[in-house]
Amino acid sequence: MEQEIQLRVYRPSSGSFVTGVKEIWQFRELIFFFALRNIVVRYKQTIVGVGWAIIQPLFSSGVAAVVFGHFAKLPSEGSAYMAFVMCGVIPWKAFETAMTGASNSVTSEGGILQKVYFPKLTAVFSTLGVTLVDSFLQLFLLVIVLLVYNEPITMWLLLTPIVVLWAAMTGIAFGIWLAPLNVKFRDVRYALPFVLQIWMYAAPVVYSSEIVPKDKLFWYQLNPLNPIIETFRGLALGNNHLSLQSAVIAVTLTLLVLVSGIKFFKKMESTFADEI
Amino acid sequence: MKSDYKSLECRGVGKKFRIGGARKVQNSLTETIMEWLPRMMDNRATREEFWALKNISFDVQPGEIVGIIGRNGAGKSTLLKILSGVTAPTEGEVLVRGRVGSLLEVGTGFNAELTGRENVFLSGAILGMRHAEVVRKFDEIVAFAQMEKFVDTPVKRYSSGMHLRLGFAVAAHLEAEILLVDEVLAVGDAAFQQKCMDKIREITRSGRTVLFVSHSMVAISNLCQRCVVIKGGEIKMIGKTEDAVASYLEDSRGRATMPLLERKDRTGTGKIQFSEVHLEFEDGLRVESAVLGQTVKLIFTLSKKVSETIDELTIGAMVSNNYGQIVTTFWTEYGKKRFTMTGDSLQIICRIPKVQLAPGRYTITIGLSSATMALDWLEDAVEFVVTPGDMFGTGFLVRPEKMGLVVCDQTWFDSEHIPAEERK
Repeated sequence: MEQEIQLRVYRPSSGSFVTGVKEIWQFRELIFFFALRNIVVRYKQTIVGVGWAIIQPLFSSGVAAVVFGHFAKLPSEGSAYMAFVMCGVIPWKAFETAMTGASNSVTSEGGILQKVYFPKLTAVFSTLGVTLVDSFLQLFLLVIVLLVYNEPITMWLLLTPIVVLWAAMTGIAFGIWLAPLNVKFRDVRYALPFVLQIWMYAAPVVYSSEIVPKDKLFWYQLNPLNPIIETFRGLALGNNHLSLQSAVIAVTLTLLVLVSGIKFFKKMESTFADEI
Repeated sequence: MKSDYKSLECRGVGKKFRIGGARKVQNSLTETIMEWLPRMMDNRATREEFWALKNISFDVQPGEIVGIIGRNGAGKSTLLKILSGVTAPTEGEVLVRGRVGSLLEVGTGFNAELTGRENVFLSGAILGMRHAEVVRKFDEIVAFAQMEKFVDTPVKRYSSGMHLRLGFAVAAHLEAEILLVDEVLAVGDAAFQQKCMDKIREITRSGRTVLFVSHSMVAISNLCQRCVVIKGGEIKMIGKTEDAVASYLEDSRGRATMPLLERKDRTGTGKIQFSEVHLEFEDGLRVESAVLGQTVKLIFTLSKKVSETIDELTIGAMVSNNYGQIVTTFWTEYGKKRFTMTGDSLQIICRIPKVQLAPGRYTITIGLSSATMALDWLEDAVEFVVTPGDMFGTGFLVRPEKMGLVVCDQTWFDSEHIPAEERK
């Protein structure tokens, strides 16, 4: 009983960004345990286990390499198509996993949030755990693929985890908006996969941005995934298509989505338990 | 222990639900649009709103044990949810000083795939314990649950008893300054419920602040110094437990004398409703009291509001005494008896050959259902009195005010004078 007695105030939700950030910090241990649980549970009772984190991107990259590189003979900026695609798939997967996970995070904690108070943002941010573990395993796969295709291995590769984190945070930023909507409208769960599919083809995941017509390039670069993937390729393969301008746009956009998302989330949070 | 701060302050708390929006959520966009369209045409909100709680204000001092009394649907559970922060109030605010716990969030956040150890840490984190605190108490928790051998087994391999024990152990070791206890939520077998109640008593003696929700006026009277009575989402009174209990009981008596068809506080589909419930003696004489040891018939008059035939009807009647304790239940399922109703009205009779309830005042809560749905439910539908009677045919009028709640039929003899009917 010696510890300081904390004061909690429950009132109609204000949608405060500062409160949201404070909660995330205060409940960082809970984020960690949610993340740990998600990681442990994710591949339980599977034979391949954590291997699924590698098999999926390996096969989707392989298929894309055959279809776009071998049959359609699209340009791959001088690298082996397989390595080229994989450098798009890894950051894309990080974004996709984070966004899907974040948007389902609140609904999947339904049982808990109807019984006890905890800041629901913790569930959203705990999605980072699974995302980053999967992505880091995929980075090892990338090194193997680079070796197989005789691509040069440089020290720049060491910076790719930062890009993965960038991609995951972008996914979280959009996911924060979707999570409260998902509580109200389960349509989100069904709409999201194909929205993401379309989004993937709007980003240079399986093709090079070289094939995008020059007059569409401005709009194309508004996609926040665009500079993420270009940066990743720049670091892993040494081909540089990154425009600083589009990186600044992407980061600014993501920050805007993140901050407004936290405000929106905090506004909606108070009735989650009634509506879930 | 006088202090200048309050453990808990409720200031003008209100909670609004949309009818049909609280439990039955419109889960799809189309449904919402279908609801928006008419509202856009007609600017006034057509959707009905329902205030589950309105203008609730009270304070709780540190170390105080406060009871919250009210019928089902009065808003008690909603209030607890707001006090624990599960859901936010629509208006007003709640200030809580200290950690809030509840013994009955047993196993909250347990994940079947994780081991006992992992779950203890996860559940602890969800309930708001610091990691270091869980580490410090881990052995104690596991010992309390008697689970030393199984801590590294996935919880899905646990029996339900083990699951419950571990969950309870975690919750019980959360050092909450304020404890919310909803007895209605108490689940589990009798032994476990006993353990819960023992723990609650122990905590109430440890000087912590407790808010206690119960239907049992006996438990409330034993534990609480002060009570808040909630009726229809508003505070009816705040005061000493005796006065609060008296006010609550007075209220249920008032309801029980009202004609059933005028009652608006019923739940169920209403396809068939109870129109009357009364008592009759064996010879058909209508009475308001039963006599201990004599036969009485409990007669339910049903009236059907739809033309279709409804079958598989079952009736349950819970008898509560003056203190809100459920003493016994009359239930068609005991005799595996089901009824079919084709006409507009039907009487269903429950014959009680020998009334064994202690003399006193009782109310009956009645429910009617078909195979698939709850048709009608009325709390405190009727009140009756059991008067002292010559139960054993010996001329001894049993008045067991201090002899318990029931008078069991009994015969006495010694081993040297065994009556004929006992010799087999």
